[in-house]
Amino acid sequence: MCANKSMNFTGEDNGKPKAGPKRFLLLHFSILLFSVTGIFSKLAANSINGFGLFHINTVIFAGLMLINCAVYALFWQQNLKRFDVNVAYAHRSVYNIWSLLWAVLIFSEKITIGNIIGTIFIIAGILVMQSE
Amino acid sequence: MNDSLFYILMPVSAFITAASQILLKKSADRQYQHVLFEYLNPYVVISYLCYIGVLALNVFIYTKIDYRFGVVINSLPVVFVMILSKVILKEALTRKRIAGNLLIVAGIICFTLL
Repeated sequence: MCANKSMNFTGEDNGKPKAGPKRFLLLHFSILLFSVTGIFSKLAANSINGFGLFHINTVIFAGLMLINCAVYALFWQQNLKRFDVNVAYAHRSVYNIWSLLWAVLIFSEKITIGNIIGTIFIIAGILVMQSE
Repeated sequence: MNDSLFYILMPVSAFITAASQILLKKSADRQYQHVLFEYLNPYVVISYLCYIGVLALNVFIYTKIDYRFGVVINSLPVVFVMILSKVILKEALTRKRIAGNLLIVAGIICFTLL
């Protein structure tokens, strides 16, 4: 059972077409889209704090969040057809880099040393998973 | 409302996300007669309903915590996916996969506490 579900280094399921560079590009484009969903989530949350749940800004940001997420989901489902769920999800952790970048650039948040060390550990974990 | 509740909700959000990924994978592993059914089947519908719930939950969480904690919200599902994919999908659980996930957990602890 386990052998049937094992992967090669490119991370695709056995018996499925090999995932080439285009597939990996599509995977990471999906991840970038997903990071934009997070931005809209935070903007909606800030709007709730500032103006209330039913303010037009909250509705717009929540709507954009849903639309963006729907587009992302279409791409993501195609990714899951090519990649093992563990591997696809591990790649999605590249989101962390985007997240820290947006936190500083858009939301002017302070990033601590612990945040950076933690993110390095997380990425190291992903690389270890990818090395099998 | 106590702000610590919002930190407790992060793993809850992560677990629901992981569960929805397992449902999507179960759907993706099946053959469908029409491409439309790849998107319109119980696994996918329930998965995306979970997703919408998670989105709402994340907005609620973000009202009290910084956006940078999205790193935790979106890394923790990897660990839950490993566990659920082993239990439900019977996917291989290799030493490297376990080691990688332990590093991710260590990273999340560093990120949150330091």
